[in-house]
Amino acid sequence: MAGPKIATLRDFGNPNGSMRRWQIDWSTRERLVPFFFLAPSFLALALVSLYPMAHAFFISFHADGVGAVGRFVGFEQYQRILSSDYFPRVLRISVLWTVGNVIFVWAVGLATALMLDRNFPGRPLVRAMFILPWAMPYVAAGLIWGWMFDYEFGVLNYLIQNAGLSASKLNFLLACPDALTSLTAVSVWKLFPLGTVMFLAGLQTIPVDHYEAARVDGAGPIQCFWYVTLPGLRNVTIMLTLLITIWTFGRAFTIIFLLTEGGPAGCTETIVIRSYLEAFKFFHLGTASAIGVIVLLIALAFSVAYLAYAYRKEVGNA
Amino acid sequence: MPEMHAVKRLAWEALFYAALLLLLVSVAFPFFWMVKTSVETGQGLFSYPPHLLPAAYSLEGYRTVLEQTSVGLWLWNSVLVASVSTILALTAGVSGAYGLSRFRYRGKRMLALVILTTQMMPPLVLIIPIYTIFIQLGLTDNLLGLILGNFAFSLPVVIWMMKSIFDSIPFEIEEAARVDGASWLCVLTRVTVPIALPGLVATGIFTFLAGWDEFMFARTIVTSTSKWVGTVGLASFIGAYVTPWDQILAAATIFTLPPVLLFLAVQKYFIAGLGAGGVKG
Repeated sequence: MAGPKIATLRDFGNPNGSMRRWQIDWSTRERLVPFFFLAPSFLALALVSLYPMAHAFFISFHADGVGAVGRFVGFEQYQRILSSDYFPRVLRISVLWTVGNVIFVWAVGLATALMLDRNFPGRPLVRAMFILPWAMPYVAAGLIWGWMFDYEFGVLNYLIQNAGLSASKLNFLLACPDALTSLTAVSVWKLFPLGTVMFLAGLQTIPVDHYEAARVDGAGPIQCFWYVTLPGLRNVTIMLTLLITIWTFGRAFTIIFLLTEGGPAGCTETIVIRSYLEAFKFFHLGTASAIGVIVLLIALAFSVAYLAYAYRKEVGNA
Repeated sequence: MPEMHAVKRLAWEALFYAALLLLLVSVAFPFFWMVKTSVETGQGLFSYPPHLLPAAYSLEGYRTVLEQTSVGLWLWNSVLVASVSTILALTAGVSGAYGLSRFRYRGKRMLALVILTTQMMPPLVLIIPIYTIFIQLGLTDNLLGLILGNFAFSLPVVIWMMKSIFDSIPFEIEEAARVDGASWLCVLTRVTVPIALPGLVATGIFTFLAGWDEFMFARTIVTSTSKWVGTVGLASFIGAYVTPWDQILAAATIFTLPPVLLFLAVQKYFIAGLGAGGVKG
């Protein structure tokens, strides 16, 4: 580094004069500063994220080689996947799974946040407990829920039968629409604390006088919730929906893989599970990469469309 | 009618506490059942109806799993992978977030968008190519490969979270230090980072937990049992010929304890950081 780094107050008043000792002049130097800060991140991102992503596209244009990338086939993989029997099925399951997660994480997150927003004895403890599932590792959550779902010895069947909710035992993970419902329950149990925390923070941003004004106008608690609370949580709802959608559609893996591995009869096989099995069970790297790219494109298209829609509405309301 | 009013109020209160209790029980029950099963002895374990409280306590499950499997080693590997990748991601990410938050230059929005896109990327799109690249580099079955992978997954998240935290710190505070003659790097490390410390802690914990929890990549990259991390080791219990649930859940309890304790220790920072990030978006 040439020259002293410390500039005095006088130097700032007279940047051209006293900066002469620096080899690069002051304004160029200042303009380079942000790139100096950005360099490590971008170098790292390029190496471990952008280059692999480009490589994924590259693989997806090649045939499924054994242990290596096969010959170049252009869009053939994509054509094959999009016209296959399984693709509409895994896409439908992924959408069901995502919608179920979004709705329930939203609802449970909002309900818990509203409860925690009022004062009651032991609130800090309750709040910590509500957020605890978030800290449990997915693999551990998969194991404990798998044990509770167990058909022969599982405690959930016992509790449900004792409460008189069902006369016969339920096949939580072994019957067909039920397995996806059970997995969604586990996933929501793990994810709803994110909703709780985000909604709690959102509730703090709604000014108290909005509620007062509504009450003066004769609004009851339900109207207050509908006309003040919900609109006040609009931004949080948008962010939460986007996050949960991206996570559950494009990421959710561990719980499904551990508890059902896509079964029974493929009815919990999401598009992510399918891609993973193609890659690391059948070693069809080309097919798997192409499915991965399709997931990425769907997630991107959804995010752009969703944000554009949310933003347009906001402008319309203003 | 003030009496009616009081009754209605009381009913609301009762409903509130009933709902709260129901939610609390459903949230806490899996934790309870995990610990309960882990200290149950073999006989009581496979009985139906199950005992809601163990008929006989025993730490046999813990002893067996610690003596006969490499749980300790896997936990140590998890600690190593999660903490080193967190430190790397925080170092690179804080600097990058500062560069994205503080200065004005052409293409800034574009850069932020690129980072957001990498954050939205399904991990599969990274794992398959990284797997083929690591095969060529000889980084499969290597903890270094795992560290690099986790670093790759968490860096965009770190940049994004730290950027929103830096955005919320008024520039005037830094300006004073700048005028007093501090370099930008000095401003960042001596002024901005200390102010952003709660958010930095939250981001660090978030990253650490993600690394601790990561399963898909670890399962794919690492094959020899001595290099397994906790997630892979735990998952390996599933599908064993006879499932020893007390041992499995003993291991699961041991594996759950560090993140839960970590979370409880810093939950105040954590909730503030996560909440603020979400609201600001």
